[in-house]
Amino acid sequence: MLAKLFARVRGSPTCCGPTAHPDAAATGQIALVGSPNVGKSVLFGNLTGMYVIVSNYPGTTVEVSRGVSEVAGRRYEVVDTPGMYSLLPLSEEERVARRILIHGRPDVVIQVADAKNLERMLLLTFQLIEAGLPVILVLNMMDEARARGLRVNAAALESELGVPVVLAVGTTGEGMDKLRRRIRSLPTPPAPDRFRYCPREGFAAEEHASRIEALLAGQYALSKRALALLLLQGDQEVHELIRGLDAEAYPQIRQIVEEAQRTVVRPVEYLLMLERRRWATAAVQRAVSVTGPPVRTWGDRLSWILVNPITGIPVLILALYLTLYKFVGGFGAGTVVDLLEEHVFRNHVTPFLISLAGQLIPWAPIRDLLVGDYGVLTLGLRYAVAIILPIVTLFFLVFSLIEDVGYLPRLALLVDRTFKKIGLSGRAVIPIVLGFGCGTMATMVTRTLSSKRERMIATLLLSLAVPCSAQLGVILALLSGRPAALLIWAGVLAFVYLIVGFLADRVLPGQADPFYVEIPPLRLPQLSNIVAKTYARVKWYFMEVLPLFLLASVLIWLGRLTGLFGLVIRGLEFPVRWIGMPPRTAQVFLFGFFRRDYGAAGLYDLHRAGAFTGVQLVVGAVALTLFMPCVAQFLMTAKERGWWAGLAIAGTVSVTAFVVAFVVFHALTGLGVVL
Amino acid sequence: MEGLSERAEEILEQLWILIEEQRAQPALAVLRDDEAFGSLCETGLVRLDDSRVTLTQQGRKEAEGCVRRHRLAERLLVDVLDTADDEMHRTGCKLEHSLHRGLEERVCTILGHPRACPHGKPIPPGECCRRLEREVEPLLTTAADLPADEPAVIAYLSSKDVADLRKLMAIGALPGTGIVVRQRFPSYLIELGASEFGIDEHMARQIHVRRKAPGKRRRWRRGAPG
Repeated sequence: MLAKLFARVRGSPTCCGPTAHPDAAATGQIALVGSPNVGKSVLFGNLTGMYVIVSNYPGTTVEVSRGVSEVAGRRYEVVDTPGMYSLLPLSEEERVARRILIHGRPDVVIQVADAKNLERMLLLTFQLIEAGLPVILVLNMMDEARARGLRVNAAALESELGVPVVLAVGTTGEGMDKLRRRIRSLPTPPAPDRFRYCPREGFAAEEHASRIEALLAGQYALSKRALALLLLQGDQEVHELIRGLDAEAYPQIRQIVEEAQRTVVRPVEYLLMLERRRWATAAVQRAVSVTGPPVRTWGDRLSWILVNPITGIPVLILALYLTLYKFVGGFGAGTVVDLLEEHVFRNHVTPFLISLAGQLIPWAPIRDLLVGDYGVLTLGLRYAVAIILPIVTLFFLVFSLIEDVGYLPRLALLVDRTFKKIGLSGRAVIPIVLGFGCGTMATMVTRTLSSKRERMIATLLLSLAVPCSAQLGVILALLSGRPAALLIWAGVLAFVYLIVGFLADRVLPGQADPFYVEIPPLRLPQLSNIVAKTYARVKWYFMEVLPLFLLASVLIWLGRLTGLFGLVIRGLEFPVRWIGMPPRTAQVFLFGFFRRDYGAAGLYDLHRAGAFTGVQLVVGAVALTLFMPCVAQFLMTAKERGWWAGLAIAGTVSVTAFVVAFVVFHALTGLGVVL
Repeated sequence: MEGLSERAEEILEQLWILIEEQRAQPALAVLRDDEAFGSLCETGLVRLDDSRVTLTQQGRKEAEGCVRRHRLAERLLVDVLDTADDEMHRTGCKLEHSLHRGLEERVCTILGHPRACPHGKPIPPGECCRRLEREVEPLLTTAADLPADEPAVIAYLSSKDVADLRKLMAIGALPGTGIVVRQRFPSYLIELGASEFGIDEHMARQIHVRRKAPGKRRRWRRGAPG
């Protein structure tokens, strides 16, 4: 989850409670496991009573949250593990989840499952049973299952599996009492070999597994049966574990594994999965009945409208227009900024601060630092609070809303084909859309992409052609009276974005990642959820942005004091003149180096002073949008991709920005365009 | 070639697998006195010099056909007739000899020109695969070619890359699962059980499905439990 990600980067606990410190008074541990999108986080919130952000997009639960729950007088540390599909890990998240099971040795393992997809969910249940873990199976989202005409016989399922089964609806709290009762009467795990693998395609799993089991002497948190099966599936981490703890027997074990693997044509994990699938089908047949025809819900209809390109693309454009242009640009950057900037700051806060400083501070340079033209309070604070904050807040409000509803995976589906052309998969839609909010945050979120290549391309595009919301707001306000100028600006950006992506796709080795994404049902947004998510993001952003704004003011003050500022500006005047801008714009680019949005705000100020013609306005907006990412994004790029890649990206971006601006200026003036 | 005995075809098949696939030398001791082996030598399909057995050019072509028919027979038994694992091999051996050329092509087309047998071994392509005949509507096809809204069942996965196979397993795309393709463009929207997933063409091509009733549509009805 994004909010959790931020917490790690900032190195502080989340708003949601303790992150890394297990409660000292806790006497037991509960681990919540399950595949993505089953409502684990909501259940976690129910158990611990603490709020955790609920996200619809699979794969974003990267961090682990912990909380404390009290069940019948006993305190438990509750761990919410990242989503896992299988005990054999595919991703970093699954590896983390499994480590929690191995190293945490939880007293209770609660598998949260989507009731309407029981057959698929049971595939993990069998593996947890196999591992000898004390499992309670919670069939969550029973309301959605009932709406589809499914009736689950919990008792029948219990006797089939040998583990407690609780039917629940996380969002309403249904079934929570029963779950607490089940936790209190700690379940005895069923025998790990309750379910046995029949030979498949000549591969006798049981035979190989029992030979390995007999050789394992060490003490392990997972059953020897599960370890033996993981070894047979070629799990590197388990191989390392056994090599360490059962060093003597390991060569022999390895031999058995190699022997077994030679007998199969298809991967062992696939053959085992087919067997588990057979058990699951049998269990579902016994425990689930279909009572009536499924109802086509409003969600189904709306979902169809969103994913179908014929209706989906117009809806997307309409959504962009309403949310980004009208809401963030018009209302945010126009109305709210005007109100705060003009009325609150210019008329009240700034004069008050200036007069206060005049009375209290006798030294001119210090007074200048605080309340001068580029002062920490009069410029830094004003930009951050009056211009950037409202725009970013509104953007995150919109983003949280579309995330909560479940629009993002649908968007991923819609854009995957196009994204493939520029070396990205549909999954990259999350960081790219987030980039329209804050490029720094988006750059960090690129780590959820699965290949290095895709992360690199996404980072480059974020640095270059994706304007952040603060910038976007100011630029939309700048160009708002001139639709043709706005169109040219957007066209140039889209063109650069596609061309650079296309070239990056050609230049970087490898090919685009295969794409798959779960499309959860559309859900009515929950206000509390959206507010909490927006709050967490704005808080992160503000903590991140405010110090930089203040620092930028200090640096500018220092630069002016020492004369360096003037020198740099004079140096920048050359390329600025070269792209046809008035020399005064050089300082905007200098601001832009400290923060992209800072620069955009500077452009806004100059525009109000009537410094630009229409063409210059477009060229300036293009150059500034493409220009060097802000210091924060540059640092994040270097941190995520390494210094060399960071510098290479920054260099590419700066050169591209000036070259494109140069071309646009000469093309427009050459054609005699007047805007 | 007409007139080869079942035994002779089996020997040809084994020789081809040994020589072409496993790059091994057949043990001669068992074969030398075999009557069928003798006839293969006589018809010029197999050459025996000193202690080495080789397939002649004609022999290789003939043997490839035997292997192809055997593996096609297995596919037919598993994908269309849903035969159990152990039964498959025995019946497959019998069935292959009944698949003569014309029939072989039709079976191959119905199966959607599969590239591998149920064990994952490659099926040598025939003429029809090269022409990619679609005159007989294939009963087996891939999720990428399945018409929208037509219910089908996943027959097998043909992932070359284990990473792809794992992704398909993670979303529950396993043999026996009901599947409906809801949308084919710009990417594939598939319904597996009661869940929906978006996948790209690369993934959809690896999901081979058995059509329940080609041409029938099921609009927006949710699948069976699971």
